[in-house]
Amino acid sequence: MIKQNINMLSNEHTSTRNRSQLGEIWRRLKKNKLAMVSMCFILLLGLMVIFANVISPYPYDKIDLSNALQMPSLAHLMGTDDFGRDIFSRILFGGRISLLVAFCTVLVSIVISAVLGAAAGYFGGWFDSVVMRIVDVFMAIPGMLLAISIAAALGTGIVNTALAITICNIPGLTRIVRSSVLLLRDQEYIEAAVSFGGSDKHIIRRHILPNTLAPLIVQASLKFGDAILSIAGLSFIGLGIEPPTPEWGSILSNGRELIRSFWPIVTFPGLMIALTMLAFNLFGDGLRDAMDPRLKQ
Amino acid sequence: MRVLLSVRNLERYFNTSHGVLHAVENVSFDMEERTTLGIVGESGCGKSTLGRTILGLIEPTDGDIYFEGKNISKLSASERLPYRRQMQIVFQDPYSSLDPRMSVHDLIAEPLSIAGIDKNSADRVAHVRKLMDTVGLATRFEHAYPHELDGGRRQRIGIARALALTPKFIVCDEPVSALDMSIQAQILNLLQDLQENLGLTYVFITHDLAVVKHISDRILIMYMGSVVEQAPVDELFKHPLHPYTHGLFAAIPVPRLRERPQRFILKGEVSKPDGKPGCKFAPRCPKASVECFSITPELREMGENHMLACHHAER
Amino acid sequence: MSKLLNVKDLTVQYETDETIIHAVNGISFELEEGKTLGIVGETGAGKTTTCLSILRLISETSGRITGGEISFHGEDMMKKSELEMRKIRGSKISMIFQDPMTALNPVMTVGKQIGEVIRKHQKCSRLEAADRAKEMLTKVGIAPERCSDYPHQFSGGMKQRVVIAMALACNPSLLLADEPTTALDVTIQAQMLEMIKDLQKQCNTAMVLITHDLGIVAETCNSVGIMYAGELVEYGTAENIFERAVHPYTIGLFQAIPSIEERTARLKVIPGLMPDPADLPKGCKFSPRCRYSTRQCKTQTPPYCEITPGHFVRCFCGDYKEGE
Repeated sequence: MIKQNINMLSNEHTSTRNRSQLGEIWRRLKKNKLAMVSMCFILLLGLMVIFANVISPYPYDKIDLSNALQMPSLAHLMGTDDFGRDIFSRILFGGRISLLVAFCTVLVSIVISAVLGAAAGYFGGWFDSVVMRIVDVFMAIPGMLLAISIAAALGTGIVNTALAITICNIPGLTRIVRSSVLLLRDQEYIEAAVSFGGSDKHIIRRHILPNTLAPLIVQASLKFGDAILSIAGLSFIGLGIEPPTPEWGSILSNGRELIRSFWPIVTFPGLMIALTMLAFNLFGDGLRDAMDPRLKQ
Repeated sequence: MRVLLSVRNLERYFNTSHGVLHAVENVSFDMEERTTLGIVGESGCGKSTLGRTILGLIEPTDGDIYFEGKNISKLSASERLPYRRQMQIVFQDPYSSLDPRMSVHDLIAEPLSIAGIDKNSADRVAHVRKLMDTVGLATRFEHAYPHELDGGRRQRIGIARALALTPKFIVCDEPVSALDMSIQAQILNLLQDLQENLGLTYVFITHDLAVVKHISDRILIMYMGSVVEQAPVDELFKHPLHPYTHGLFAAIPVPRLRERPQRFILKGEVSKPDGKPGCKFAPRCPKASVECFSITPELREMGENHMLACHHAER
Repeated sequence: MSKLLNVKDLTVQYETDETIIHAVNGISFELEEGKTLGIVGETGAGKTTTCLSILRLISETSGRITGGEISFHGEDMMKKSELEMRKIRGSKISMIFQDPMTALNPVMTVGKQIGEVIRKHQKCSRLEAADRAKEMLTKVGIAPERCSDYPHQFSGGMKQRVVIAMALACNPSLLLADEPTTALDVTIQAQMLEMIKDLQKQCNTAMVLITHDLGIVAETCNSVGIMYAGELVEYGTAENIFERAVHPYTIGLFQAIPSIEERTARLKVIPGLMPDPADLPKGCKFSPRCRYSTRQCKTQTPPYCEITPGHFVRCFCGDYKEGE
């Protein structure tokens, strides 16, 4: 009886396009020209800073006072600073620091927020209330101010800067994850998992987290740009990375007195910060559009 | 045939800001193996809540549930687990009941992996394929995602998944309501075939009287949380006794031009069940009298295994 | 009776990045004043697209009317400007949709929403519009005092009544109803259909009713069109369709419905699925699922023939007996 049914039903001629979700997302992303350009920029930047020691024409700390404050030329693509150090080399090595710190802070904050937000949203109750009240307190303080306070408390240096920015990112991301989870919790497929004996751990791991991944990834991309700016900002006011370690914000800070007389020293780091942030923002926007389930068939 | 499932005085209340909502009130019935109990009612009657309470997805506020003679409602979560595996559910919405990020294989394999059945992945793949075969899903859809398939196929995934743990009892919560007519017929036939071949017992929840007539052996009519009438299917359709049942039957548009049955339209709407005494249907009932508004009617046997909760009962 | 609405060879396509979706493929039908046409079909048949095309709302959704004519009261709708169409929508032709939950603005009172429609199309003061709104509420069976209530304070059935009040506020001559009762309980559905029929009689409003429920069609419609894969496979009076149906799909639909009267052991099923509108089969679109299909059916498009006056079928008729 059942076999008959199946034979009849096998006469489907509707083809299946066995496309994975990832493939769909990539296809949609490809259509967004701005996002693709941004992605190329990010990849290029990444490659350049990874191979900084190969590409850079001079070591970043080579002092040459006789060559100070040279305008951009073939020898020095972005000119030299007041110590005669090649700005282009400093930007390359500085990029390493900026990108590395940004990457670590985003990674750590995403992981912590995912766990906290998922637990708060899924279990609710007192845990949710406590976490949310702490989040509310943190979010009541303006971002930069919070970063400055924490950095001032912890001190300067790469690790402390990373820590400060991570702490600042966690509350906002936790809230985002929690809202996603609250929506998901009522989906019927969660009920289904419960009905075949799925434990809470299984449900969070298998159903909740993967489905909250989309907004989280978009946020990660946007936060990357924010992180770059925050690191630069903190270094600019002297709380982040200290000289002589090159970092875009501290290079900018260095050139504060020279704004009027020597434009390369502020323009190039400023431009790098701005372009990188823009690229991550545009890419993040593109990702969000590509992942939007409403655009699915 | 022996009794597989027994429900006695099941109650489920919800505390809301507007007072206590009596979603399920004093429901009792027995189910024999390999039979189908149809639960019929409109929105707010509590049928979905009842289905989920029987399965333990919602804890009952009061009452007992006996499965194969054992009182499972009083067990702890871990003691209940083996019984939970024998009782599964097929949902109404083939869209929201499947995780959009899982492939067909993953969806059907999930209960298997939770229960630790199948020794290795090759066994699991074979097991999943066999389940797909049982429900008429071509194997080529193994790696497809729910959004690529139509409602009928998605519902088959839901059914295959429900069968994975070889349950004895399945609650079908409006499984064909969201499907087109011709697909409905396919799925209904499939459910019947599975019952015959696998010896399943169904609770079939629906608002569609024609569907429930087709598939059920016995029918429960619910209104605002209570059972108002209960009878074997042929008996119910031959002698509907409760005014609400009459209203339901009369409301169904018949796809025929000649010999149309008498229509009377039930006025008014359902309100929130608040647990006050009196028949809940009285405000809309053409036969309501004073006692209907103050005394709650009890479910009484009217002969032929036909139960009725009404003060104005006559055969 | 003059023809109120005349649709000839309507063809509508949607364009996505990869493919063209042939939603509606050359359908023709007409409607007289005060009568009801039922369009029956399953998901994806093109019924909603047809209605949206009549109101020229298709371009909102990246679709285009690529062929055919629509004439209303003798005027060519395709030639009208957007401004003229806006004057028609809501006042001469109204549409109601399936889901009453999303059809109403949650932050406006129902009285205001009905009043808004009235003021848009008729010159009257706010007070007059409010009075008319109360009148409409009474007409649809809602206490007029509830005009200052918000949509969330009404049940599903009552919300749909409000939607109907809005649609009929300006006395349109044509009402397009897209599955108006599908989301409602069966007893509420019965009330709703009764009310719509009464209102139709009162105002002599013609109606195009989209539904998948043949029972509702039997209750309310004078003429019926069965749609499949964007085509009208059978079209005629209600009598023709219910008593002399000829197309295998129509017959299959009737057989697939569980009957409230007799109990059959198994339902007769139409195997397979409706074809993907982006990838329609050659020849007759129903042929892959049709018991009677021949080679001709698979290669040539069957003609739309009038087998008896007023009864049209798209099939290579004659190879089978009626009603089999």
